[in-house]
Amino acid sequence: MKKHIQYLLMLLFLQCSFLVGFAQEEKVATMQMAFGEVDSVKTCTVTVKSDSTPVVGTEVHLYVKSLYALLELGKAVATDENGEAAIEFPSDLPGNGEGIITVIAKIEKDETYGDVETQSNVKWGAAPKKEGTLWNSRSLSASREKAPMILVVASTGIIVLIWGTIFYVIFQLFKIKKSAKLIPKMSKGNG
Amino acid sequence: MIPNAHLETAYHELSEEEKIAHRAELRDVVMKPLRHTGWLGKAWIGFLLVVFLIGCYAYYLQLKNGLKVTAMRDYASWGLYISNFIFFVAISLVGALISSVLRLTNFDWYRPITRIAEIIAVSAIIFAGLIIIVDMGRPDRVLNLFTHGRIQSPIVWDVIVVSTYLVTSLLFLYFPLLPGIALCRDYLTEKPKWQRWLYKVLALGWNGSHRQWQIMKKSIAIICVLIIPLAISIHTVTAWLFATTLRPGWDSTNFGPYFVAGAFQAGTACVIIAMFVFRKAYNLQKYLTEVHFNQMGKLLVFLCLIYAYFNLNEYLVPAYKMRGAEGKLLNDLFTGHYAPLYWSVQIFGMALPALLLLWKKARKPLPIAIIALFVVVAAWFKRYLIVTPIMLHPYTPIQDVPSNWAVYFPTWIEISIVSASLAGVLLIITIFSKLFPIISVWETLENEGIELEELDNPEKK
Repeated sequence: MKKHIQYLLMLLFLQCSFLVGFAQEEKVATMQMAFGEVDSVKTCTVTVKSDSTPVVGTEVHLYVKSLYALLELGKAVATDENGEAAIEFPSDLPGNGEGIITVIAKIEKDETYGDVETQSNVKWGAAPKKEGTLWNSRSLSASREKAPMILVVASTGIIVLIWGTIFYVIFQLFKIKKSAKLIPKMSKGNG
Repeated sequence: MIPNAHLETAYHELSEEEKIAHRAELRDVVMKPLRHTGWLGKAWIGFLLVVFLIGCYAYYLQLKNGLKVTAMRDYASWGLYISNFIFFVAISLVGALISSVLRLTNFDWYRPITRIAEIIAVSAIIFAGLIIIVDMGRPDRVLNLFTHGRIQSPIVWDVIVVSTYLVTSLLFLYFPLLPGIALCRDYLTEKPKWQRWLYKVLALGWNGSHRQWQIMKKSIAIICVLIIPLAISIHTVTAWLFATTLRPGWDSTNFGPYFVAGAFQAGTACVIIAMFVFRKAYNLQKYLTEVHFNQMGKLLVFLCLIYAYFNLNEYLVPAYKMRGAEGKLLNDLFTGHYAPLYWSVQIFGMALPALLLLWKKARKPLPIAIIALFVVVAAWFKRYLIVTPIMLHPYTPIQDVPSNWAVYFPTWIEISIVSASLAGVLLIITIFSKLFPIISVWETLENEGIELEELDNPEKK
């Protein structure tokens, strides 16, 4: 019985040693992003280093942040001998109101470095076109303050006209009541 | 119809004393139901109250647990409540048709039925407004429609036009009622104190002077003109709630006039039923005569034919194309799940009434009341068919949702609340007819050539 326990403990020790040894093999990598234009082509260069040493041959994915999810830019690019992966950046991506795009670089499930991620902002986005859109201008789909002027004028005119007449008619009720005080009763139950 | 063709009576040749005696006779007839309520009347009011209270309890449950107690889900987000809303708006138009259109076109035979038409209009529009609030998930936010509403939204147009029409209809009921309230004030002295006080306040000191008659008639003339565009607006805007929504079956330029035509038809049928009931219950045979039923029958035929014309436009033109989602909807209506209801509504609510009422015998009080009942029931189900099947046939297919979202059948809570609203309308009409004369004495006498104004103010002649 004791022997069995001894074997089991030994097996457990060996397993733990293996796991600890394996974990120790995953290294820490850092990424840096640089944005520049190469031959008038916007390029994002990601430099991957581990202990100040360039990481070679690791695949880097580049994403931009959209409203609900991440949009991947092209295919993953492997780092060269300098630890650099240069990825072409499209010129027609929309940015926020100021044209800023949030770019995210990722190393995903790498055997040596696991998941590594970094992000940076760049003003490469096409600013939304304000001219010609209905947003912020008077339209049927705008907020209540920006209703089309013709609708505001027409509806207000109609409401004032109709309710003005209604109030005039209601005023006639007061006149009927007032005239009752001035004129003596003519007959009983003239219904 | 020839204006006043039946009124070649000898009333014009009556002496002053005979006119006064005739007025007294009419006054006694219309006052009789106000003095006494029989067991049948009490049982009727009791029944309506029970139905109304059950509906109130159902609404309490809906308020407590939210709209999940209804069968409305993501697709059928409009169900029984909105169908009922369109029905109420529809029948409320009859006040404008009977009292205003016929008045302005110089018909006079309608005069004894004006008050019936007006009280139907008022009670229906009150409950149309209430049922919209019932349909809201957060009724406590109803005032936001006024404080935060966008004038671009058809829902805001509807809120504006419903409230405007309600006020105008109340005035249209109130002005011609003033001499009637004075009658109650002067003759129903045995009534409880609160009731006498009510008559006194509402009569506004009416004494039948020239000045008062003059102001009243001028005001009625103004409201007559005002209420026609309002009545057409209220139902056109209600139609636009649907037509401005991109859905097969609603995406139609025909919707406004289609709704207005259907409204006049359903409202006229309601008035015929009410005429029949009041005639029997209050012994008004002498004043709600077969002539009135005959004329209303002819009017109903005319309105059924107009409505049939709009139905042809509404269904046959898209059916010729049978395009996409609209085709699926029409197939479902013509030969599918909704076919029995659809064809029943079209046949019993429109085609057969128009055909049967061509015969004079069918325009007698009992047959026409039965036919009108069919028209009203069919009109209610027609509104259900305008709402529900279309909600369940969106342009984008219903996919990956719980199976019960793709069907709609109202829960007992919805049925109870809608029944309560119908009972509420009938309750208002019944209680009104127990408080005030259901026939306008002065208008009926005017119809017979006796001007009350002249009778009470002889110097005018």
